[in-house]
Amino acid sequence: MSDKQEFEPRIIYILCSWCGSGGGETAAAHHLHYPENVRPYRVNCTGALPTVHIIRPLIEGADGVAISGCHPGDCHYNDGNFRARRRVALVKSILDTLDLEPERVWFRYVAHGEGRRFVDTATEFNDHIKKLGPNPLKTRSDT
Amino acid sequence: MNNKGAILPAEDGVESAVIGWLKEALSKKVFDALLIPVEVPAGDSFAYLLLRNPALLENASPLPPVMPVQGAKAISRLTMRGNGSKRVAAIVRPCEARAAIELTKLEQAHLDNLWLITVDCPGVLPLSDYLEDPVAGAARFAEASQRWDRAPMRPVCQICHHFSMPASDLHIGTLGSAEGTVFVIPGSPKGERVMENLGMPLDAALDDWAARVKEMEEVQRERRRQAHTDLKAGIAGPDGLLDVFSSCINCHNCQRVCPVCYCRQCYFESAALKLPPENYLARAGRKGALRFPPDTLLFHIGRASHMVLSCVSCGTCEDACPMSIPVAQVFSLLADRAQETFGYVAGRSLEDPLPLVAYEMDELHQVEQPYVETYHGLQIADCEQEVQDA
Amino acid sequence: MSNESTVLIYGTNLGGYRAAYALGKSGHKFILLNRGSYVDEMKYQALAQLPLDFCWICGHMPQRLFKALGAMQDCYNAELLEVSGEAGHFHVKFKKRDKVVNNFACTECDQCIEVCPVEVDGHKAIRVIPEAGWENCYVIDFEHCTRCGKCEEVCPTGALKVERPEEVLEADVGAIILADTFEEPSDEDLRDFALGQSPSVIRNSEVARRSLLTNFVRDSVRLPSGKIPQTFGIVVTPHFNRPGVEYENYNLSVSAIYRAVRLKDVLPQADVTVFLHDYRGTGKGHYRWYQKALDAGVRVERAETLKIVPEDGAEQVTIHYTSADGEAHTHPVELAILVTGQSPPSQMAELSRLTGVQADENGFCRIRPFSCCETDVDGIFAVGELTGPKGNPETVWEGCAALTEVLKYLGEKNFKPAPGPPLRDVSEEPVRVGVFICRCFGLFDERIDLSALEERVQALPGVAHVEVIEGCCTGPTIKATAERIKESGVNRVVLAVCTPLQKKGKYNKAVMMAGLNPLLCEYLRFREDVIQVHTDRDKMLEKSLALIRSGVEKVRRGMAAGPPTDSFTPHALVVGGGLAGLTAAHEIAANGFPVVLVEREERLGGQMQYLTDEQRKYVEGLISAVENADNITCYTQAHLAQVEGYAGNYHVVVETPEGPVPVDTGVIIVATGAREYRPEGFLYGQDPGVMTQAELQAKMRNGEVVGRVAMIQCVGSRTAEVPYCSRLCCNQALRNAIALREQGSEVTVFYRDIATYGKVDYYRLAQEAGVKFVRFPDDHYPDVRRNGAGLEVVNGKQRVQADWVVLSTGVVPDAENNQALSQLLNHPLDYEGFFSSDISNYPYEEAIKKLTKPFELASNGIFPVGLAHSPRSFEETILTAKDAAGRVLVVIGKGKMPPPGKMFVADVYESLCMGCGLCVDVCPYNARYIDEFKKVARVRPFLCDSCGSCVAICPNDASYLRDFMGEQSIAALDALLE
Repeated sequence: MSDKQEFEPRIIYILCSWCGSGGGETAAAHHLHYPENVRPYRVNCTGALPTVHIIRPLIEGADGVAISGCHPGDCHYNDGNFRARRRVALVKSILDTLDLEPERVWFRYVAHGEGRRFVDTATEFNDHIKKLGPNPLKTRSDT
Repeated sequence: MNNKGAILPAEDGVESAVIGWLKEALSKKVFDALLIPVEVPAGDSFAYLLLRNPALLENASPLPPVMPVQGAKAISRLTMRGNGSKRVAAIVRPCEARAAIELTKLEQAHLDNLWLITVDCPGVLPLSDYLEDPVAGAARFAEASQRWDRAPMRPVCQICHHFSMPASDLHIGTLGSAEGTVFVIPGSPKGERVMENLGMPLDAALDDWAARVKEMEEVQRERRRQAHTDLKAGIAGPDGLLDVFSSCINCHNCQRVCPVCYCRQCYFESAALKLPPENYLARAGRKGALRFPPDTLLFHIGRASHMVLSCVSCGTCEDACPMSIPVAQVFSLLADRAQETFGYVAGRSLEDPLPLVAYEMDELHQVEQPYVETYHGLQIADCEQEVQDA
Repeated sequence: MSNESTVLIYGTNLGGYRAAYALGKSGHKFILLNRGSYVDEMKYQALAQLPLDFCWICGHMPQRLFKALGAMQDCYNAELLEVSGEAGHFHVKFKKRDKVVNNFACTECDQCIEVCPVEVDGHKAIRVIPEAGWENCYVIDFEHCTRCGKCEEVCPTGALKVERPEEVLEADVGAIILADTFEEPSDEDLRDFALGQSPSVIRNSEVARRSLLTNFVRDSVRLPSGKIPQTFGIVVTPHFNRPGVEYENYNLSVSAIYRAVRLKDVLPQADVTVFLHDYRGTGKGHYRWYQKALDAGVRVERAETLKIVPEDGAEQVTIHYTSADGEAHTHPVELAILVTGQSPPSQMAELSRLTGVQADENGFCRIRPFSCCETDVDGIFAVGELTGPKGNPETVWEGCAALTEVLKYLGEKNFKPAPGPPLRDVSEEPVRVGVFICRCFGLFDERIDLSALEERVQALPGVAHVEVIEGCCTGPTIKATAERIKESGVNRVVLAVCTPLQKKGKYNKAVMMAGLNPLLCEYLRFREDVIQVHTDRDKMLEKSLALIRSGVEKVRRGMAAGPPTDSFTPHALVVGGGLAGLTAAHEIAANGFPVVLVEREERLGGQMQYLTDEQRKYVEGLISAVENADNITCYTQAHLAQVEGYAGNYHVVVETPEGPVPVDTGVIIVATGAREYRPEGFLYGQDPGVMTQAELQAKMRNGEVVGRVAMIQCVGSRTAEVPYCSRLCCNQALRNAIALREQGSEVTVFYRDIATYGKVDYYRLAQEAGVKFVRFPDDHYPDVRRNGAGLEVVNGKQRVQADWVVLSTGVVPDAENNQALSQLLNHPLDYEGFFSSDISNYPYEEAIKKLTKPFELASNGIFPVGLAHSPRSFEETILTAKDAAGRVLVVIGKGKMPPPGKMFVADVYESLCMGCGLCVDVCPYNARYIDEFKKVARVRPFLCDSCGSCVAICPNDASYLRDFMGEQSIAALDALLE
C-alpha cells in the first residue's frame, strides 16, 4: 500500500441491537449512504461488549473499531451504556499507555432515529482512519 | 486509628521481635492459627504455612527475602468458602494484603475472621537471583533491607510507593522507630481488640513513623514516575511492545501466579480461542504469517483489560516468567494509568466499589466522541456562511 | 348467557394502547378502532408533551405481536356507528377502511414512491410516515392522487391497494373503552401568540416532528431563511390563553424547561428564556429539572399576561408581557417556541350520542367518582386525555387500571397464543449450515449480483446449502422459506434478510415451521447493512460475503435449548392497609387470587384524618369488602420480618401479635404510605392560630369561622430538605380558600408558584372568588409574628394581618420505615426518598419504559403504589393501586411460565464459574444470584431480559447468553475481518 489514498480501511462498527442498529435502519430507510468498508457487528447492548471484542479486531485485521449505542439514560436495558463507557475508557487507557493509537477506537451514542448521525459517524470514522493509515498491528505475525 | 500505636521491644532485630510477639499471641489463643512464611527444610525457599503449633515458628519470617507464592492466594484458598469459626492471622507484605482486599470484593476471600498483619516492606529479591545461591541471597537481602536499599529487589519493588500500611488490621512499623524497637499499629477495631487482649497499650505517638514513611513515599513516587516514563518510551508502539513480548511462550505462568487472576480457567485458554484451521490460515493469509501458539498479544492486552484495575504491582508474575519478560513492570504501568482513570487504587479499601461495577451518570466525557452536526454533508458553520454570502 | 370476552377500544391514546396490551396479555381479544389512517397520527404532539426527546416507537411492538398472534383486530379510518345492548353484551357496528398499504405484507421497497407521477411540496402523492426505520406507514394524499394505479402495479406483494372499500362490520363485545387522542389547539386558538403570522413562531410539537430523524439538533430550530436563531422564548401557552381554549397537561412546565435545557445543550451561547405563569412541575422528580435549567443559564420569567407580536418582514417577534408587579415588558426573540396544551375533546358530542357517556362542565368525558376509567354507563370506559388533561405517567397507568375495571364485565378468556410447532432435536446431527439470501421479490436483483454472491457463499467453509429466496415476510413467503429450509436438510440457518427489529417474529416463525430452534439461526440485515446504504456493487458483494461468513461462523457453533420455565406463585402480598393497599388487595382478590394484607396499625384504613366525608365513606366500604372477602387474609399490628426469593417466588415471614407467619407470594405490593411534613417555625406549635390545611379543614367542619386567613404555600416542599413539589398542596389550599371566601373570610395566599393541576381550574376560581395572591421569593419564606392585632405575615415590605395562618405542608416519605423496608425487599429508594417503581430517574421514564418495555417483572415483582411511590391525590392513589393490580393480574395466573425472551436468556457454565458475584452486581433486573452451596451464579429465568451485562463483566465467559456465546463471538468477529 504505497499510496495512502488507495488505502481502504477495514472498519468494524459495533452496534447495540436497539438504538445503534435502529440508527442504521433509519439511515437505510432514508437511503443515506456510507462507505462500504464499514462492517457492523452486533451485540445486544453496548454494556454486553467485552473488552476482548474491541482488542481482538485491532490485532487481527481491523484498522478501526467504532462503537455506538443508546444515549446515556436511554439504554434499553437501563444502564448498560454507562458501563460500556467505562470499559471503553479502560481499553483506551491501555492502548494509550502502550502507544497503540487509542484514536482507532471511537465511542459515540446514536439513537434509534438518528439515521443522519449514524452515517456521519461511519463516514467520519472512515475518513479519520484513512488519515491515520493502516493499523501496524494487523500485519504483525508475532502478535 | 493511626494516631497511636504500641512499642514492641526489638533488641535482637525485627524478625525475632515479631515472631516472639506472634508466638505469644498464638500461645495465648488470641489467634487460633497463623498463616506465615516459613523457610522450607531444604533451606532454599520459603512457603506459607497454616501454623497452629507455636513451636514450629522457629524458621518463620515476617519478611522473607522472596515471595514465591503471593500471600493473597494462600488467604484466598483458606477463606474462599467462608469465614470459618477460627481466628487466623496472616502475616503478609502490604501488596499481598491489598490483593487479599481485592479478592474479598470478588468473593474469593473472606476477611471477617482473618487478621491481616503487615510490615513496612523493603521489597523482595527476584526469585531467580535468590535461587542461584539462597544463602548469599538471604544475606544480601538482610543487609540491603537494613539500609532500605532497594537496588537488589524486584524491579517493581524498587519503585513501590505502597510499601507501608495498607488497610490491614495490624501493622508493624519499622520506619522511624527508636533504635531497638518497632511500632505495632492497629488499623481496625478487630486489630485494636487483639492489642487489648495482648495487653499492649496504645500510648506511642506515631508521628516519627508517619513522617519517615511520607518521606520515603515521596522518593519512591518520583522513582516510579521516572521508571514509568522510561518504560513507556521503551515499549511504545507495536515494535516496542512486540519486542518485549517476542520471547513469550504462552505458558500462562504469569496468569497462574497472579493473585487477582482468580478464574478457574482463563478466558485465554478457553474454547472461544480454539478455532478450526481455516481461521488460522485466514489470519496467516492476512498477516503473511502467524506465530504459534498464536494470540500472545491478545493474551497480554486482554488479560490486562481483565485484571489491571485490581493489580497491586506485587511483581510475582515477573518472577514466574521463564523467559524473563518484564511483565510486572509493564502491567504495573498499565495498572497505574488505568486505575487513575477511575480514581481507584486497588486494595486501598473494602469500601471502594470495583470500577467496572460502579458508574456515574456524568463522567468520562473525554471518552465520548463529540459530534458536530452536518447538514447535507456541510458543516453548519459553512451553511451559515453560505447564507450570509448569498 | 355468559358475558362476551372481547373488548372494543375506540381511539388510540397511550392509555388505550396500554389497555390493549393488558387485555391481550390477559387472554382477551380486542378490536382497536383507529380514527386515523395510520398508526401514530398524534405522535408528534405526544412526543412534544413527553418532556424527553425519547423515541418510543418500539412501544408498538406489543400491538404487532398481538396482531400476529390473533388477539388484535386493528381497523383504520374507523368510526363507531352504533352501540346497543348493555354491559357484558354490547353489540357494536363500526365502519372502517383499511390502510392503503397493509403493513404486514409491505416490504418497504419504496417502489410505489419511485413510480408515482405526482409530486407536490417536495414529496410524491404516496409517501412514508413517520420517517424512521420502524413501522413505516405509507399514506396517499388523495387530494393530489390521480388514481393512475402505477403504484399498485409495481408492488411486489400486493400489499398496496389504492382503493380500499369502506366496510361496515358488527361485533359483540363485553366492554367498550373510549381512548381518543388529544387535540392540539388550532392555529386560530393560538392567534394571540402569532402562530401562522410569523416565521419565528413554531409549536413544540413541530420541533419534535422535525427532530425525528436526527434527534433534537440545531437543525430542528432552523428558520426558513436558513439562519439558526440565537435568542429563544419558550412560552407555555395555556398559562396565557383565553380560558377554556386549551387545558394544561401536567407536564407542560417541565416540557418547556426541558426544551430550554436541550436548547442550551446544542446552542450553548443562545439566550433562552422560558415564559410561564407558574412553574407547575408537580410531584416527584420535576423540581430537579427546574434547578437544572437555572444551572444551565436558562432564564425563567414569570408573567401575568403575555402575547406575541410579529414583526413584518423580519424573522423576529416581540413577546409582550406583564410581570407580577404590573410592569409591562417587551422581549424580542428570533424564535418563539409554543408549548401548547390540549383542546377539549371535540368528539364528546358524538360519543355521548353513541354510548350515553356524559361530558363534564369542561367538556371532557365524565368519570364516576373514585373510579379510574368508569363512565356513567356500565361497561363503557374512558382512558387517557379524553377524561381530562393529565401527565404521561397517569395516562399510561390508566391502561392497566382499566383492565381491573373492565374484567368484571368480561367472560372467559378467549385468546391464547398458539403453541409453536414441534422442534427437531438436531444435537446428534453433523452441523449443516444453510444460507438463504433474500432478493426482496426481485428488488435486490438490480442492486447486487446475487448469483455471484450465491457462488461465493457456497465456497465458504461450513456452508452446506445456499439459495436465493423471494422473501420471508409475507404469509406465502414465510411458508415457502420454511419449506425450502426443511427440504434442504440443514440444521443451522443464516437468513440474509432485513430489519429483524421489525420482522424477527416472522423469521422465527419460518425457521420454527421448519423444525429448527431460533438459537440455531441468525438474521442478517442484508437490506439495511448493504442494499440500501451502498452503491459500489463489487464492494457490496465483498461486504455481504463478510457479513454472511460472520453469520455462518456464529450459527455453526449455536446450541439449541428450550425456554427455561419457572413457577409463579399465584398469590399476592400487600404491605399497608390504607387506600392504596386496600384497593390493590381488593382488585387482585376479586379476580380469584389469594391476597395477604399486612398492616402495622391496629386497624385498616390508613390516614383517614385527611379525608372528606365521601372519601371516608368510600374507604370504609373498601375496608368492609376486604374484611369480608374469603381470599384476603388481613394481619393488623403486623410487619414484614423477613423476605427471601424473587419475583414469582417470594418467601416472606410476617411478624404478627400471634407470632411469625410464613407467606409464599408471587408479588409484593408496597402501599406503606407517607407522612405529612411537620412544619418548623412560622410559630407552628406555639400559637393556636397557626395550623396546617388539615387542621383548618377540621376547624371548618366544626363550623368555626374567622375574618382573615393567610395561607403559606410550599412549607416543606421544594427545599433542600424536601427537594420536590408535593403536588397536592396548591389544589387543596385553593379549594379551602374558595370555601373560606364563601363564608365571607378574607383570604391571602403567599406562594412561590401556584401549581394547581387538573380539569378544575382552582386558580381561576380562587381569583374569581376574590382570593388575594402574594408571591414570595424561592429563598425567602415569609415570617409569621403575633402582634396586638393578631397574627401578622411579613413578606419583605408587605404585611398582612390574619386571624389564622394556614401552612400548606407537603408529603414526605416515612424515612425510617422506607429505609428498613427497602433493605428488607432489596428494592431501592429514589432520590426523593420514595420507593423507586422502576429503574429510572424521572417519572416520565417510568411511563415510557412501561409502554416500550412492558416488563411487569422488571422491578422484581415489587410494586410501590400510592403515597409510598410519590405524592398523590385520593383518586391518583386509587389509580396507582389499580395499575399495579392490573400489571399483577397480567402475570399472576400463568403458573409455569417462560421468560419474556423465551429461550434467549443468560446462562452459566458452572464448571467455569468462580462465584465472584460480579454478574449479580451488574444485572439490572436482579435476575441472578449466587448459589452459596455450590458457589456458582444462577439465573432467575423470568427476570432475565438478555441484556448481556453479565457476559461483559464475567472475565472468563462462565456467564453467557444463549445466542451470544464466547465461541460464537470470536469466530464471528474474525470472519468479519476477512
